[in-house]
Amino acid sequence: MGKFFAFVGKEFRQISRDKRSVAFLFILPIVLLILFGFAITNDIKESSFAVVDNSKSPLSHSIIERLNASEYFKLYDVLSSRNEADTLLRRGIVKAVVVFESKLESGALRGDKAQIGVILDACDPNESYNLSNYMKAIISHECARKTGCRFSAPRIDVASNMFYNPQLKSAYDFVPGVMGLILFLICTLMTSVGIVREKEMGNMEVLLISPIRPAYIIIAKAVPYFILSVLIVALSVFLANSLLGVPIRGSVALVFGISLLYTLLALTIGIMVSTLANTQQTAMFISTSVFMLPTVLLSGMVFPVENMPKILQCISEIVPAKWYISALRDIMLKGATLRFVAGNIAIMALMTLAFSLVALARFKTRLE
Amino acid sequence: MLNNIITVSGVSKFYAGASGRVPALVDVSFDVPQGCIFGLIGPDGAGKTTTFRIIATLMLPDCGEVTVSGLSAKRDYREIRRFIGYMPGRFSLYQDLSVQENLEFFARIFGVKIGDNLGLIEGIYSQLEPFKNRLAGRLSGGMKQKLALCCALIHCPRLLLLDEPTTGVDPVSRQELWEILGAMRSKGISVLVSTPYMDEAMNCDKMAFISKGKILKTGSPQNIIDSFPQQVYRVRGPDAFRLLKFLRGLPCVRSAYSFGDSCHVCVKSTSDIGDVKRLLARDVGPGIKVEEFSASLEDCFIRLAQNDDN
Repeated sequence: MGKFFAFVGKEFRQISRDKRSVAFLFILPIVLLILFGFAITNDIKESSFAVVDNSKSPLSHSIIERLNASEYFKLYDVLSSRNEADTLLRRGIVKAVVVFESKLESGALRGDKAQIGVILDACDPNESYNLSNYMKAIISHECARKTGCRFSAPRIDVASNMFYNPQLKSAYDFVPGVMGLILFLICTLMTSVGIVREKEMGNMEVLLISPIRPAYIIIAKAVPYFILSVLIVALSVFLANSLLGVPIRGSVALVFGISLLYTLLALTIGIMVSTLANTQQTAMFISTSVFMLPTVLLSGMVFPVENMPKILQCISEIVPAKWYISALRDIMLKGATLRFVAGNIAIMALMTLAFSLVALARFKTRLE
Repeated sequence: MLNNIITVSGVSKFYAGASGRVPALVDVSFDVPQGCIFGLIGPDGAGKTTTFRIIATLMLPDCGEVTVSGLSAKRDYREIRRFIGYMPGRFSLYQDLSVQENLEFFARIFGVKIGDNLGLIEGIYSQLEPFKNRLAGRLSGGMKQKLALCCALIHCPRLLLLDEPTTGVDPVSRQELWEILGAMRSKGISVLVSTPYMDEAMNCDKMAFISKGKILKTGSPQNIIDSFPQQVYRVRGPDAFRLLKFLRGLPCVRSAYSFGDSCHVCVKSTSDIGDVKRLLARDVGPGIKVEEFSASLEDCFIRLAQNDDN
């Protein structure tokens, strides 16, 4: 056992000597959380919009004024034709165009179906979704106020062709995803590269000819990353909760418990990758392309799994991060209990077992 | 007590290459007697490292048997690993750890303290001490090898396997390393060492020439030299390259090859040397010196390698 701890100690010493990597490990979650939490938010602020006013009525004027006065929108220009509006949209000068029908007011007052068109630049589906919601709310409110009747508000068509993302994403949703990604990065990538480096630098040649059991070498390599991961889980949860205001409605112990299980799973994947690769580049390639990309793309971290083609949905079932991220979301945001996420836990435990078996079967006590 | 600490019999090893299986070792057999320095001498790519890895239980031969201290390198690898010290050809310690940290680490994973076998490593350790806080990666070539040797000796092994310990090391440090090996032998440690430098082979008690995966000859260095069948002549002149070409063109010359700034020549029969001298004086000109020279190990190696090629 003394030998094992000698190895763990050595590992810590080497990691601490590589100050840049350690800084990277701790700065990365902070930066990602802040990026996703603040910079990449879907909050609307002073989005520019243009108007094509065919009705030139008091109602349309008051709607325009109301929109412009809100903190969400800023009037760019009143245009004379739809064509101009298209150009502005295409160039990205305005995010939205409001089109008023010529018989807007008379129709609205009579209770007929009046049309106010809202055309949106839906390149960013999330943003356009929010924009259209805000706009609808302001327009409806203003119509109701003007016509004096809440229920005869004109029907408003929102014309947004590229509108395909029905899920409203927010900072809340990103936190579990970012944690899933970061833990995976540290455990799988760093562990596999770390173990393969020993092979590549020839250290393994000397280590194999020593009384330390090869299995201990591997486990000892994983220990520091496990401890680092625990710290990073704590840091991420703390930041998410205090800085981004993400609630933890379920039990904190469960958040940590499931994170540790996921860390173990990611570590076994890292160890398994290290048995497949002989160079650090290969290890990095396998970790990133075979494991990391699916984590980002298919885990539901960025794109909702429900909207993927059937085949990708099937593939996403075997992405480890998917099970972690969905469980973490349920615990943090919905206050799910252990029973509710038991299925996710069972699947992650099974995956851990499967990957360890592969790693064990592939492990060599010799050089080739 | 066994006479041979290592026996290698009929070992072959193939690597997977682009064009099928490439032989690295072909039917290699030799024995290393207990308590001596055994040199595996051959050029780069001869199969020295493969031989070391097989003896060190890091690789399995495709056929043949290896025993270390009577134990099978295949079956009893765990036990063998307990009493051998191995220093790979490539620097294999942690470059981002200091000298002291490397030593402490290896002492701990071998379950000993640095002080336990101080008698063995004291000489080397005292040379390393001034640099003990320096990172291993920043040491000079010679110091790196001394540190690696120190780590390989830390648990007082019975058998020391050193793969090219003097490659990339300056002549003074090379001499020092050989002196250390002599000291190890006097402490009862058997040493198997490889080197591409023929002149170093004289430091060995026994040696084997290896080339292209085959053992060419085994014996003590002096025996091998004594068994050289012919007189060697050293020919020196102002234009060594032209001289070599000329000598190779003579029908009575058996072999000629450059050796530093001179040529080493063997003739087909002893009487032919007179002809050679005469032709040199006639066609190449004055200033050519021809003298009798005692064969060196390199002469032996070249002769053996040529015979093997034919």
